[in-house]
Formats: sequence, C-alpha cells, structure tokens
Amino acid sequence: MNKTTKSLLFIFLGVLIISGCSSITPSQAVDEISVRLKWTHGVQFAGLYIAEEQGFFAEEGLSVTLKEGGLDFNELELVASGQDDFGILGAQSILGGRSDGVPVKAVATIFQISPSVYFSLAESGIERPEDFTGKRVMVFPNDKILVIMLNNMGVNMDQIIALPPSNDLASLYVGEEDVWTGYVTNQVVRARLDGYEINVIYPSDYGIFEYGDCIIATDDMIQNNPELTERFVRAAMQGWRYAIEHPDEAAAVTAQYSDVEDEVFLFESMKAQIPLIHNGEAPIGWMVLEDWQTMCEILLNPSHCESELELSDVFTLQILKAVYGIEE
Amino acid sequence: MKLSNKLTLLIISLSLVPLIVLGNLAYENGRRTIERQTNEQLTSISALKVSEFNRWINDNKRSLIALAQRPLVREFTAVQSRSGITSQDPDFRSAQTAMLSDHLVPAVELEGGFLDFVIIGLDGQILTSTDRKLEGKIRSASNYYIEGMKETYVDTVTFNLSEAQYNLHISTPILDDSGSTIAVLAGHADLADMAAIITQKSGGTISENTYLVNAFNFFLTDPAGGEGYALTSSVYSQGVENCLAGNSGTAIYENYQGTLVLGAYRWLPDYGMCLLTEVDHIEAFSSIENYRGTMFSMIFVIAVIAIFLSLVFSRTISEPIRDLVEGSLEFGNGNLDHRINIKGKDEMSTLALSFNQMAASLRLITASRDELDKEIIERKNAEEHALKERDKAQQYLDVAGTIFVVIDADQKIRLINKSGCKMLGAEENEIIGQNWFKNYIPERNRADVRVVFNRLMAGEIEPIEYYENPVLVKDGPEKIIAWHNTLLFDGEDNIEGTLSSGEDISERRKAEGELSIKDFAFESSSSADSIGSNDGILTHANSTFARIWGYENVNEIIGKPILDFLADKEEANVIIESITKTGEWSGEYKALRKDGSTFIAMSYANAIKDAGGKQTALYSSVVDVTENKKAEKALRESEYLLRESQQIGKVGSYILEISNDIWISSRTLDEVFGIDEKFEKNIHGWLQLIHPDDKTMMEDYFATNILKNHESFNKEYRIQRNNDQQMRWMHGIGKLEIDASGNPIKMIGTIQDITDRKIAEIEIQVLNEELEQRVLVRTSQLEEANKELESFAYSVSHDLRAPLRAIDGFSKILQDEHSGNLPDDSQRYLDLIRNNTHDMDRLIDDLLAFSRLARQEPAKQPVSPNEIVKRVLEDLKGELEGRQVEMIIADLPDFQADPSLIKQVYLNLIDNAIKFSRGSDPARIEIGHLEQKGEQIYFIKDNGVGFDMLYVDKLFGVFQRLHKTEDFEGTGVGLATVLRIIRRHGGRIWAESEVDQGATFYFTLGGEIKND
Repeated sequence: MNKTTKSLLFIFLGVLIISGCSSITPSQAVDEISVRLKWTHGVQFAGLYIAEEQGFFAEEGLSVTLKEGGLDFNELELVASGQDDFGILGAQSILGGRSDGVPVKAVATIFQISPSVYFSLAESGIERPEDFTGKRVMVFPNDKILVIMLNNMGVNMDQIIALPPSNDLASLYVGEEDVWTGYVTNQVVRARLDGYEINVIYPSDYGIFEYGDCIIATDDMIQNNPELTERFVRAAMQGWRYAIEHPDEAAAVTAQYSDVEDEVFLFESMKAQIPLIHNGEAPIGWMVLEDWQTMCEILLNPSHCESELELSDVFTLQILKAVYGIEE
Repeated sequence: MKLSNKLTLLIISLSLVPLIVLGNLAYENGRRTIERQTNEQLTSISALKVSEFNRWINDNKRSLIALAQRPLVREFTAVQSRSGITSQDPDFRSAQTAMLSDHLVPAVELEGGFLDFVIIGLDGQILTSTDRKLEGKIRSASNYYIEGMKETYVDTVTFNLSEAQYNLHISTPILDDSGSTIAVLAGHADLADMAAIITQKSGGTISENTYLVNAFNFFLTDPAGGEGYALTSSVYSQGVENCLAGNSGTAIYENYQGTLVLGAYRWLPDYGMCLLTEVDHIEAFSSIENYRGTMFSMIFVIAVIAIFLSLVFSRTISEPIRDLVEGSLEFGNGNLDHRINIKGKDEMSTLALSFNQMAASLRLITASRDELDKEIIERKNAEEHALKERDKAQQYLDVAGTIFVVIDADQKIRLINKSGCKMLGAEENEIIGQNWFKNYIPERNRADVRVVFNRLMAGEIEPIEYYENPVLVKDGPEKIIAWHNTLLFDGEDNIEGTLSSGEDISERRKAEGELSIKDFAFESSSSADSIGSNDGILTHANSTFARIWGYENVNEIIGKPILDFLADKEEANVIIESITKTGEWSGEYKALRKDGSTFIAMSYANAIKDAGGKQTALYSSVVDVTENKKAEKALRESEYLLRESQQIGKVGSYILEISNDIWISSRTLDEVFGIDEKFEKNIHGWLQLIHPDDKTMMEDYFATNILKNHESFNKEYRIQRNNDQQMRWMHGIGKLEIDASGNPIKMIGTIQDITDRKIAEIEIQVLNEELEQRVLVRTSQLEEANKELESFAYSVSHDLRAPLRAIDGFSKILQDEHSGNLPDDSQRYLDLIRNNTHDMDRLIDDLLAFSRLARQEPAKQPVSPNEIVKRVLEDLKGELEGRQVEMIIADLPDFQADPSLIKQVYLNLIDNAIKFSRGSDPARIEIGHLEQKGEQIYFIKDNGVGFDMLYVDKLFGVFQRLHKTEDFEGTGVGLATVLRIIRRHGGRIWAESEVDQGATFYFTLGGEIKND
C-alpha cells in the first residue's frame, strides 16, 4: 500500500467516524423514575412495556421501573407523596382525590373511554338499557354510571333486579344473571373466546363516559420538572402507538410481564382496547375540557364542579402540547 | 512504478476518461429531466384525486341537504321532536314509520352514497335511524351533532365502538318554517366509495400508490401492500411530515415500507387530512438506470480490451528480464532445482541457459550427502517404535480386570495372563494344563457351557462374540465373567482352540439388581423427574415427564438439551447456574411443551455429586401448577373491579374464616365499624357491635340462615359504631364457601354503610303512612257524603213528584171541565203545562232509576240478550211507527247480568239509535257483538247524526247533551244510567263516531262469560 492510498483511507475512515458520531445523541445522564400502575401487570399497560422493550424510554434517557398496584396499594397516595414519580389512575379517582385536596393531576389519558361496560348473552335479547327492566343485573356497589345510564333512558334502579357481583362467568352462561358488569377488554373477550355471542351495552352510547387510565403526576413535578414529565409521556405515547400498530407484539410483551399466559386472549384483549385508545378524533392521550366538565358533573356532583373544583387543577394539556409540538 | 504498470495505466486512461466524463454528463441530465417529469405527473394525479374527493364530498353534502329540506321530512321531524322518543304517542310512531319508509330508506337504497341516516333530536338523542338499533342512543358529544346543529358539516373519519366500524359522518340541520333548527340529519357516508376514489390508479405507472392520512399520522385508507392499515397504523415519512406541517409539494423519501419513493403530498385543510401520491424510485428512474447500466457495460468492455492490450504489449518487453532476476535470486537462496524459463533465441535466452547449467552441476554434488543422513535417522526411529509397541502390548495383556485365556481343543488351559490368575485366585503354574470346565465352571452350568464350546470347536457355530457365565474361584465366591471369544487356527486352518478375553462384571450385576428398584421408583413417580448431564443434556426422564411435556415417550426426550424444555432460556441458565453454585434450586418457571405451548412448572432441583463432592449430574422433580396459577389469576381479576368500586363507594369488605372464628377486614370496613386493629375480630366481636334492638334477630339470622341453611348473607341491620356509639345502618352481603363435606368454612363479602339511604327511606315511610291515614279519613268522609247525596236525590225526586201530580191533576180538571170557558190561547197554555209536567215526570223517573242504581247490587243471573233485545224492540214499537228503519240483529251470546238492568241498557242505547238516526233514510241499526282477545264485546251501531269525537268525554255525564233538545228530545240521563249499570257489572263502555257518519256504542260485561 503506498502513501497516497493510506492517507486516502485515513480520510475515509475519519469521515465515517465523524458522521457516525453525529448520529448519536450527545450522552446525557440517565434519570431513574418509577411508575405506579393502577393494577397488576396486564394488557392495559402494554404500551409501557413496549416503550421499555423497544427502547423508547432509553432514547429519552429514562430508566423506568414499572411497579404493580392493586388491592394493597393506594396509588394516588404513593404518587402524591413522591414515593413514585408517575402513576396510572382512572378519572373518577383523580376527581375524588383532587376534591379531597390531593395535589395530583392528569397529564394524558390512555383510554378515551373506560373499558367498563355492561353485557349480556346475545340469546337473552338484551341490547340496550331499556331492556334491563325486570332483569337480573349484576350491580357493583355505588355504580353511578349504571344509575345515570338507566336514568337517561327512563329506567329506575328499582325496575331492575340487582344482584351482588360474581366472580365466575359461568353464572352468566347458566343464566343466574342476565346482565354483567365487566371490562370489554377482559370478561367480554373471555366470554367470546368461551364461544358465547355477547351483546355489549356501552355507557358512552347513552350519555355517560369516563376517561380510563390517565397518566398522573404531582403539581410539583409538572411545575418544576416539566421536561422530565414530557420525556416520560412522549416515550409512553410512542409505546402506545407502537402497540396499536403491532397488537401481536404488544400481546407477546405483555405475556412476559403478566402472569396471564394465554397469548390468544392477550391478543384479542389488545385488539379490543385499540378503539378505546385511538378512534381517529384526536392524538393518542389527548384530553378535552368539556369531557372533564361532564365527568366531574356526573361522577362528583354539579354544584361541586361549579363552585369548589377548578378543572385546571384536575388536568393539564401542557405536557401533551409539548409532546405533540402543538402551539399554545 | 514499474515500466509495465506505467504502460497499462497510460492505455487505460486514454481510452476510459473521455467515455466516463461524457457518459456521466448525459446520465445526470436525463435523471433531472425524469425527476421533473415524474413530479409533474404525481402533482397532477394528486390534484385530480383531490378534485374527485371534493366532488364526492360535495355530492353527498348536496343530497343530504336536499333530503333535509324535503317538506315532509321537516314535517315528520317536527312531530317527532315534539313528542320525544320515549313517547308511545301514535303520532310519533306514525311519523317515524313514514319518515323511514318514504324518505330515509329509499335514499339509502336507491340513491346510494350513504349507508345509514340518523335523525338526532335537540337533546342529542337519535330519534329515527335506518339502522333501528341506533334509535335511542345519545350522540350529544359527537362533533357531527354539535356542528350539524349550526350548519352542514363533514366530520373526520372516526371509529364507533358500538357499531364496531369506521364512519365518516356528514350532518346538516333540519329547520322548521321559522328557520330554527329542530333536529340534525346525519348520514354515514360509504367509505368504500372514498377508498375506491383514492386508490384507483390513473394507469401511468405500476407502483403508483395514493392514500389518505389523518392529522395524527394514521392512515385513513389502506395503502398498497397495507391491508387493514386504516386507523391502525401510522406513518412518519418525510412526505407526511411535510404535509402535516401544512405544506403541499413533492419530495424523494422513504415511505411507510422503507421503499425509496418520489411522492407528491397535499394538505387538505377542510378535512384535516393529507393526500399522498407516490411512485417507486426504482420504477421512475428505471429508464435512466438502464442507460447507466449500458454505459457501465461499455466502460467495462473497453477497460478489459485496454488491459489486455497493455498486458500483451508490456509482457513482450519486460517479462524475460523479470525471469532472469527471479532465477538468480532463487539460486542465491539455495534452490538449485529452479530453472529459468527460456523463451525465444535472443541474448536473454543465452544468458538464462548458462545460469541453468550452473545450477544443475551444483545440485548433483549436494544430493548424495543429504540422502545418507536421512536413512540413518529413519532406521533409528523404526527401532524405537518397535520397542514401544512391544511394551504397550504387554501392558494391554496385564490390564487389571481383563482375563486373557487360551483353551485348547482338549479343553485344557494353555495360556492365561496375570489378571486371569489374580481373578481365579491361583498361581499361573496351578492353572496351566488344567481342564477349564471341570475346574472353573460351576457344576450347574458346566454341561451347557461345554456344549457351546464343543460346537464352536466343531465349526458348527460362529464364535460367540459375547457370553456371560459364572466362574469358580479358589477360596472365594463365584464371579460372573463376560467373555469375548475368538477361534485360534493352526497353519492349515484347523481350529486349534479359543482365545477369550473376559471381564469381571459381578459387582455391576449386583448393583444392577439393586438399581432396578430405584429405577422403578423413578419411573413410577407422579412428579416429572429427570436427570441431566453437566453439559446440559437430558440423560434420564420418567414417563410423567414425557406426559407433562407433551412427548410420546421418554426416548424422544433423552439426549436433548435441557434448555429445550424451558420457555425462557435466560431463566434456564440462571437456574442451572444456581444449582451448580448452591447445590439446589426450587421455584417456578415457565416450561415449554413439545407443541410450543407453555405451562408453569414448580420444580425442585439439585446437583448429584460423586463421593469426592464433584458434581456429576443434575436432578429435577417437577409438578405442573398452571391450573393453580390460573385460578389465582381469575380471583385477582375479579377482585379488581370489586376494589375499584370499593375505593369509590366506601364499601368495606371482609373475609370470615368460620372454622377459626376470625375475620379480616379492609380499611374501609374498619372505618365503617369505627374500629381499629385492636378490636376483637371474631363472630362474638361482630355481634357486640350490633344494635341491642337487632342483636337477637341477627344472632338468629346468622345461626339459622347462614350456618344451618347455608344461605348467602344479605341483610340490613343496625350497629352502634364502636368509636362514637352512633347508630348506623349496615347492608351486609356475603357469599358462603362450603367444603366437600358440606361444612361452611369461609364467608367473603361486603358491608356498606346505608344510613343515609335508610333515613330517607324511613322518612318516606312515615310520610306514606300519614298519607294513607289521611286517605282513609277522606274516603270514609266521601262515602258518607255520597250516601247523603243519594238519599237527598231520592227524596227530592219523590217530593218533587207530589206537587207535579197536583199541577198535572189540576190542569187536567181545568181542561176537562172548563175548556169551554177558556180562550184558545189559555187552552194551548194548558197543553204546554201538561206536556212539560210529563217531561218532568219522566226526568224524575230517570233520576230515580239512576240514583237507585247506586244503592242496588245487580242480581246477576244467566241472561239471553236475544230475548232482551226482542222485548226492548217490542217496547219501542211506538217509536218505530212511520219510520223506515232497517234492523240487523245478530245472534248474541248469553252472559251473566241483572236482566232488568241490562234491559235498561239496551233500551236506552237502541232508543238513542232510533232517535239519532231519524234524519237518515233509510235508517240502519245494527245490534251485534264481536270477540277480541277472548272478550265478548256487544255493540249497537246506527247511521245517524253521530257526534264529534272531541266531546266523547262528555257523552256519559249526567245532564250532558251533545245535541239541542229542539232537535232530539231526551233527559240527558240515559247514557249516564247506562254507564253506571255497565260499571256496576264490572264492564266497560265506549263509543266511536264521526259527525253525520253514525255512532257505535260498545260495551262489555266483566266477570264470567258464558258462551253456551
């Protein structure tokens, strides 16, 4: 090799190294954060698992610990006290917490509509709330949504036969109850996989709805560390988008976290929740003031919402606007 | 640089440089032209699609607006929005039916463009829909409703949960005559039409690909090669990013499939969408690429020719010199076998020839010395090798544990090695020459073994490769020897004897006997047991293992890597490492079956070690616990919903272990009971909480209904809250768990504080009781008043009659006795007085009869209405005189009634019919019956003047008349009497009529109906 070739080669390698360097983001310190889920690992958190497995968190310089919630935890308290940095929680709990003075608000909602629905066997012919009249309905204590849905359709609670919650779908199959309360992503999927034709009654068709899993953070976090919040929400939204586009991968990743083994079930559950998350009306995670107003009026009480609660304390669009690059 | 290279470079440069420069110029030029043309083409396709898309939207908008403006549609909508969907109003139903059948359904079926229509009322509820399932649903939060209230609106494509499909809604207000909105008409546009418009190719290029993307990067139509992408996949290509920033233009970028494309993008601000039209880069530039290919081949061919020419040319000059230089270098290095290549007959060749001759002479001298040295070394090596071989053979023969013995044809031992002597426990000289069978084979086997030997000797059978037999040992127990036999032949191929090598397997056999019991235990274990080697290969497994892992039998498994049986290889390595490190491991892991499915394996594993503590193998015992796990999971899931609701409802939950008499409670329940962790949480403790007034009841309920009858707990009761002694109402629910022998073991349930509800209930109850009391008082007062009123009416009627008789009597006397003295006028007045007193008399009669009805119970008996009608018509003969009346009388079924009262009914009704049909010629009266839902309905129908249905309410009132007395005489009591009689019989009466179209009176008689 003569000198000319050698020097040419050096230049070439040099260019490669420089261009390679420029494609790597300048190294930044990795922030360790913990996220408190609202329940044990399951498909409802698939987007977060994807964000971890596909490296979206890592790209944002985050090392994320996903902690299970459940019966033994008060997730709102854990986030409010700063033991966990972020949390996943339903709108009802956030509204309740804020009205008790807990300084936590929603920065995004994963489920535009809560997956909680009413359902019956198709053969029962029960298709809408009016059909509940005189029927045996599984009722959870203080299910405001059921009361309001029935009321909107001119049915009173004393016109239905209320039964206590049951664990076993078999009691629906054998006809001990006519109408069940459950998740369209869980019990309904299971019943369909068990071979039953199911009628689903969505409260959102009858004038009531609830934001399902919201991402929550303390006022302090949003105020003093908006950039960290933004990075977490951006990676989570990217994870959810990926999960929607690859429901099979989302189910497989969930199987690694959850102790549900049945990938067919996980896959069907994942597909069932896609329209709850994205239906073409808004970017993933988006929230609307009017929706919070309605939920507050329905789930707390109207006078409280007007006089005592500022909705700007319940949720903020600041983070989502930054994530999606939407001008103020 | 060498001469030859210089020559080569020169020739190549001269031929190739101009070619490359010119070719490149032409290529770049062509490329730019093609890119410009393609961009123009894409932009025009894109513009075409946009205008088609706009036309489709506008057509649909127009037809929707036209539908909303139809006068009948507006009229029907007005009716519907007035009454609301919950109304059973026949007007609503008929408007809905007409709307659907005359307008909406034909618009879907005949006009196309829309799949469904809905009409949404002002409150956001769907009033009417061609998809009847949507009626009643609430759409108040939908954009197409909110915007459609104001003006015609095109929504974006959205997914609807309950319809489970993607929709594009176009909506428009329906206005009333004053121009205010009374409802929204929304159409669900056929997205297949939209997709067809977008995806249809213009035909220019094969890879042309057009699709729509929404403002959130999601596809709205399926792009090429992306079925099902609509609203499930997003795209972040350069084209889409540019477009979503609100731009339109063209670019070269990688599309959603990672293919390099030329694309035109257009932002459609009215709909918040992007339209992209792309064509593959390869296809667009294929012609110019072909040109480049041709150019490259030309360069290549010319380069080859140039190189060939330069090589030939340079070779003739430079090669002989190079050969000479190389040759002299070789000789210098001592390689005397080398010869220089000689070409031609020039000076160079002569020089080369001299070199070659010199090398040959040198070679001859050195060769002879080298060969001698080599031979000496070889011999030495052979000798050493022979010695080694001999020692090795001796060692082989004396290896411990292996006997070598040679037995002659006469059964005598000819040779035996040292190991053989040791094994038989004797010296070599004691053994040689002895008869093998007599001395060393036990009596019991001797004959058999000898037969085998004899047959071997006779050549009847082939040598037995492997043979086991016991052997006698001097001063010790028998040994079992495993033999390998070979025949020995003499020089003439005669069998001379046998050479046998034997191995002592006594210990092994013994161990095998013991081992078989362990084997059996291993094999029949109900857990899946296995042993693996240190290097991770499965060496043993029992049939349970094969069954649980879904294999046919054990043979399929042995020899496979252990990793094959675990789903998570990393986890497997961690487990194996842990066993190696600590000697054991227990826990659960995800196991992988043959068919790829998985289960949860609960495993205990440990290392098998030899006496020296070195690990020789891995042992594992496994139980499948997937079912347990599933049950655990199902329970947790159900707890989920329960918990969510508890958090909100402040409902406490508990688990009561009946056998241990202890309960555990949620935090909420502790708050509800006002207790802390020190509270005595057992049944006694719970009963202590209960309010004294309810305690006995609850003790009894728990002992009888729950513990004895095994019912679910569902009871409302009062407690005295532990911390503040406040009385609170509880609603307890609980499900009892029963064990196999029918004993209650556990109860799980919730307890809710329902005090607020209870207080409200009690208030309502008190109010209700007060109300009832007041109703009772009022009722008796009313009854009293009624009685008084009736006796008053009766006495009034009676008392009125006496003076009336007097007036009539005296008027008659005046007429009879003094008519001659009275002027004509006075006589006429007297007539009038008498007529009026008769009228009044009849009125009093009617009133009397009417008031009597209130007091008198109808005496029911079987009655033939045919008979009654006949008698009535007899009575009414006078009325019919001089009238043309057509009577149609059906055969009426019998019933139970008071005959005199029912005669009154027929009398009044037929009398009315005759009266009010006076103007009709011919009058027509029909007396009949009909059956409806098993009930007999009797009717009297005429073709008289009838009445306006508006006044039907007044028909049956006392003194109510719908016609002037001048037109039709009567007291106005008749129908009131009829109503009262029918009511007293428990029946119903009603009428239908139209002015000048006659009237029909229907009645039924309640109670038993006799048909025979």
